[in-house]
Amino acid sequence: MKNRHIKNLILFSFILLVCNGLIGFSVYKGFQKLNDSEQWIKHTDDVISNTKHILILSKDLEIASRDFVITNSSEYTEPFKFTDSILENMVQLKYLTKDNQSQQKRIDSLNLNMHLYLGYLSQSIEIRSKEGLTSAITYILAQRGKRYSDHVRQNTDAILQEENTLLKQREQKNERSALIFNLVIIIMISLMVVFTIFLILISGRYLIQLKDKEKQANRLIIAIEEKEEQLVANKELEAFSYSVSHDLRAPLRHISGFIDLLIKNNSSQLNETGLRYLNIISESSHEMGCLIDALLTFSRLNRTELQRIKINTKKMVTRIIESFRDEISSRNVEINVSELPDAMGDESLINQVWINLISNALKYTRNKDKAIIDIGSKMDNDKIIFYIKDNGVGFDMKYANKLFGVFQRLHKARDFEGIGIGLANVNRIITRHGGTCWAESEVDKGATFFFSKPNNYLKNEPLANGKML
Amino acid sequence: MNVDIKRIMIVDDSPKDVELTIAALAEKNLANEVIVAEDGEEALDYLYKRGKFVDYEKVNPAVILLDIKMPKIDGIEVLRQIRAEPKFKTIPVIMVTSSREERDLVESYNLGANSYVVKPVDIAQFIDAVKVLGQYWAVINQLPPVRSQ
Repeated sequence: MKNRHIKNLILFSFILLVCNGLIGFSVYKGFQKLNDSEQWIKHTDDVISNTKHILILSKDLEIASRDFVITNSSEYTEPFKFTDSILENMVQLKYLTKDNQSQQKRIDSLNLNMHLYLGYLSQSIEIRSKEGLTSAITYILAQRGKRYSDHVRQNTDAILQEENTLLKQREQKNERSALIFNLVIIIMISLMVVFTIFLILISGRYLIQLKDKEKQANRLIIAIEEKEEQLVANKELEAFSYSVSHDLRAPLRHISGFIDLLIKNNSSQLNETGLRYLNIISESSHEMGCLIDALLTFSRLNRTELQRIKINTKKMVTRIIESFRDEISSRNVEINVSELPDAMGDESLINQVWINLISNALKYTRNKDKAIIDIGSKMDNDKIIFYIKDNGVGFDMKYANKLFGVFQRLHKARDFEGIGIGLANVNRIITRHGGTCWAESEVDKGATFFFSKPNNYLKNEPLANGKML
Repeated sequence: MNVDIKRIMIVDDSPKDVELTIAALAEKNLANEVIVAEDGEEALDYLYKRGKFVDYEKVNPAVILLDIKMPKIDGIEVLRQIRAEPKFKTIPVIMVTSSREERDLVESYNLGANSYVVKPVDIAQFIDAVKVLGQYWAVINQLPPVRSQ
């Protein structure tokens, strides 16, 4: 899996984790807020109920005092024992709203007004009980008790209003929070969905890649197994042909050997014809030995594993020419070697190719006074084409397609010896190297043999195509 | 070691090949002192002067022509045993191969034999091989002229 993908994977997972964390955090905060709201609402309720209670109590007192003023009956002064509780409620109220400056002021104001009002109410009771109805009415009218009760009313209203306003504010705030909370959760969940999809896609792609790699590996394994089978079969064939050729050679050797002895020791007892016959037998068995050798070599060429190294062509060709020095110096031979680039190949096999071609060039120019052999190369796109040109006996282009056949010859054995395996070997070797060979010629004007080699110095051919290099 | 009598030992399981080799040696009158062992076991018997060679002169051959493909113990194993025995370590050994290909086998295994000839052994090959071993003088020159059998 590419590094980039791994980074993405980690990033997305991290994002998911973070989203998860944020959602959790939001939920936690949300619950906290909910809790707070509930607390606050309860708190407000308390304030409101307290305030209302104060109001109710004061109303009770107002009614009680009025009733007493009217009836002068002491049963109506009962409620006045609740003045303490009013005071308690006031203290409680003060405490409940201790964080609200303005409420505190209002409560103080309420407190003051309540005191005045309560004082007025108890005073009116006192006057009624002590001085009678008329004085009480005068007192009431003069003090304008309504004023006090209105003030109290105003105070409580103000307090209640403030609480309600606060409540509304809180509600609005809550609504907003809830909205944000919902938004955050929706966004987080969306992000999570999106990134989970990405994660799935990346993992999916990775799994597909893995599957592909596995398929590739399996194909390679099959190819390798096939190659191994081939190798085993080749080894068996090699062992077989090796021992067969040895077993074939032994009697052949004996035939040749004893014929030669016969010729050496008993030639005096033989007439010309007899000698000739013996010679033919000897030649034939030699020939058969060559055929066996040639067949063995040819079959081995098909089977050996190709080594692949950089070959210094010029050096190789020069060395081969040097090995033919004896023949060359005994004749009039001119060999010109021009540009020969290095090429990749199996050293011993390519060596064989050059030996065969050069030896052919030398052989088939024997009939000329001066043999001229040119060896060179030319480039063709990505292929190197090597050629060897001679001015020898040439061949009829009509039979060119037989040139590289096994045991095919285009000349009589008595003119030029050979069993017709040299070019077949060349063809086999070059084909295995991924190249081709061909020739051009004109009878008696010489022949040029070409072979091409793909110039993949730097390319790496895959195993599976059978042709190496 | 008695330097006057030079024995050439041929180790080969094929009588026809042996006959051809002896005929080749006879060309240069080298066939007079030839010991033939038909397999590796006999070759070692001769060297150790045991078995049917128990009465033979306690003399090492001047050179051994050792065939490779033989039943029981093959030539390579014989060579190994010869080279392992200090008494015989210095005897020159020429491997006799069936083909040029087998020669590769011999060379690549670095057997301690530095020379080979290809069957059938012809005299020119043999002399070349003996030269390579530096035994030319020991085997060829110091041999007495044609001796009566």
